[in-house]
Amino acid sequence: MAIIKVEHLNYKYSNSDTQAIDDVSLEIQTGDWVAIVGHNGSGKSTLAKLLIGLMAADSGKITIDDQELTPESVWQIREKVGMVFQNPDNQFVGATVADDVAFGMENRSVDRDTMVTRVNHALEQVGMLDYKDREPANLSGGQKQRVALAGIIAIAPKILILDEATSMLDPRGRQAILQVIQQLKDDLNLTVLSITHDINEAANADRIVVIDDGHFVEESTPSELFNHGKQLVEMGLDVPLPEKVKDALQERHIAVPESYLDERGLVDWLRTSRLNK
Amino acid sequence: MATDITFEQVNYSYQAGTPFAVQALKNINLQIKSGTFTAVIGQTGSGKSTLIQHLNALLKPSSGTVTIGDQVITNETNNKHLKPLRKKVGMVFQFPENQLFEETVLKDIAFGPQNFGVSEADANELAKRMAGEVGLDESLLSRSPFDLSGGQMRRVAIAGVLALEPEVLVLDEPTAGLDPRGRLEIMQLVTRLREEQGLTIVLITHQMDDVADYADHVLVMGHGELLKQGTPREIFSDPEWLTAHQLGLPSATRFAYELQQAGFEFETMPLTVSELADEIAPQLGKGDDRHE
Repeated sequence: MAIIKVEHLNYKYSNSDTQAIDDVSLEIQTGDWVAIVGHNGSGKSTLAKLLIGLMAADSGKITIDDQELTPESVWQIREKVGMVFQNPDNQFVGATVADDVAFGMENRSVDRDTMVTRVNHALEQVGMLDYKDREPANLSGGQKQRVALAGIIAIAPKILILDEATSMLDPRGRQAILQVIQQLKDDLNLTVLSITHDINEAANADRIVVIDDGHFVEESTPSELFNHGKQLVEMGLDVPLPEKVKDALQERHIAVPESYLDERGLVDWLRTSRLNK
Repeated sequence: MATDITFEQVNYSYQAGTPFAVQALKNINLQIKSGTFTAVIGQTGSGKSTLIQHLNALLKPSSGTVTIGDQVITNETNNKHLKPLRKKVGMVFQFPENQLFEETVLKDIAFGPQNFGVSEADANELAKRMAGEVGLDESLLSRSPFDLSGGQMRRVAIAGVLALEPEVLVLDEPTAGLDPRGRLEIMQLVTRLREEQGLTIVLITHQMDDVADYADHVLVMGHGELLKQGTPREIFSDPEWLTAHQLGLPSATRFAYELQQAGFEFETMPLTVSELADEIAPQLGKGDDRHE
């Protein structure tokens, strides 16, 4: 069942001549992880804001969990959607980390005991339980991103939207957080929409949608997309390491396979090639 | 003029003197030589940002001394005397575009120098030059900074810092949230500033590939302590140690260790893809049809 359905969506910023979102249609099935990629200014974040009704589309229709997004339904729809932004400073309200994580539940009238349990559990999941009494302002960028995610975990939404939500994390921290999200997705049949430039985050997705100048240019699986090699930079993604290594070997007159290989695949190919020398 | 930076037995606590005091820096001793490119790495919350805020006395050590050029900063230093230092050390914070506020890009870049007593006309000249330096098109100067894309806004913010004509440029994750092309452009800009103008660069980053590609000195922070310092090659030569401190390797180095398991031999562990290819190409067959 499609939990998110977008039909012929259009949006133009009042101070711009071009469409930020240009006739976009999209269906996301319950329990899917979809990554939206594209270079800065391609319309990714605009799409995310339209999806949760932070801005109203000029035309088109958005249906979330069988409910059409309208000025009347927007509050009900936001109960089902958790969103983590790139810069968590923009979404902190609590005096302590624990208060901040509890804030979303307070808005949803969760009783106190449940709240305390859920706050602790959420902070533990993101590795921030030791910081529960600290002031959010004094945390580092990566720690703030973890706390922002904990706030979302605590409200257990049906849909999680990540807008560059791991950009301030170190690579290991990012991997740990992506694992937490994967686990939540499996446990709760959560639907994940991640807007990202990070190739590792995109690789976690079931499908990747490429957006450019406000419209979808391609939709594929991670391995199909990563086959594009250097063109990935145009799409706002980095070139995966195996593609870089293949290029560098080709420059040194080594014939390499044309099809996409992940790191494991490239190690296997190189091992065989070395033994056959 | 050389602006070397020296930390001697520097300690720093947030909310010092209260029950909430947290010691963020513990007995830091280090030196940053004028004209070098220093990368500061460490897990989130390791004290990196606290450390660099001591470079222009936004934070003063709770104890110990920080010496920047001929200026010595201690707990006792009077804020009145910090203006020359603030001009000498330019800071680009995380998400610097949040600090933009003027009506036009030109005014925003020219704001800093006017604040330091430069005339409006001279500041505007300086602003135009710096906008060119960071690769902003002239047509953007009369636009509102808020109409620009994230990458462009970040360049406006960097141009505003450069307009103070600093000798040391400190950047806290300047590429976070930018797409790969934007990241590359910012890193090339930083490298060029160092090569052409001799700026000392201090960069906080989580991108180990950037450390391998650009830095000549690395400071590793952990739990408020300086755990290790050295060249990128020295720092990345001990993967067990890095793993124990939850730090990564440059992607080419990490891949080389995997290849070592698969039987490849390396004279020196590569830091970049190019070094990696140089080492493994001679060990490979020419790749005939059997492998295709």
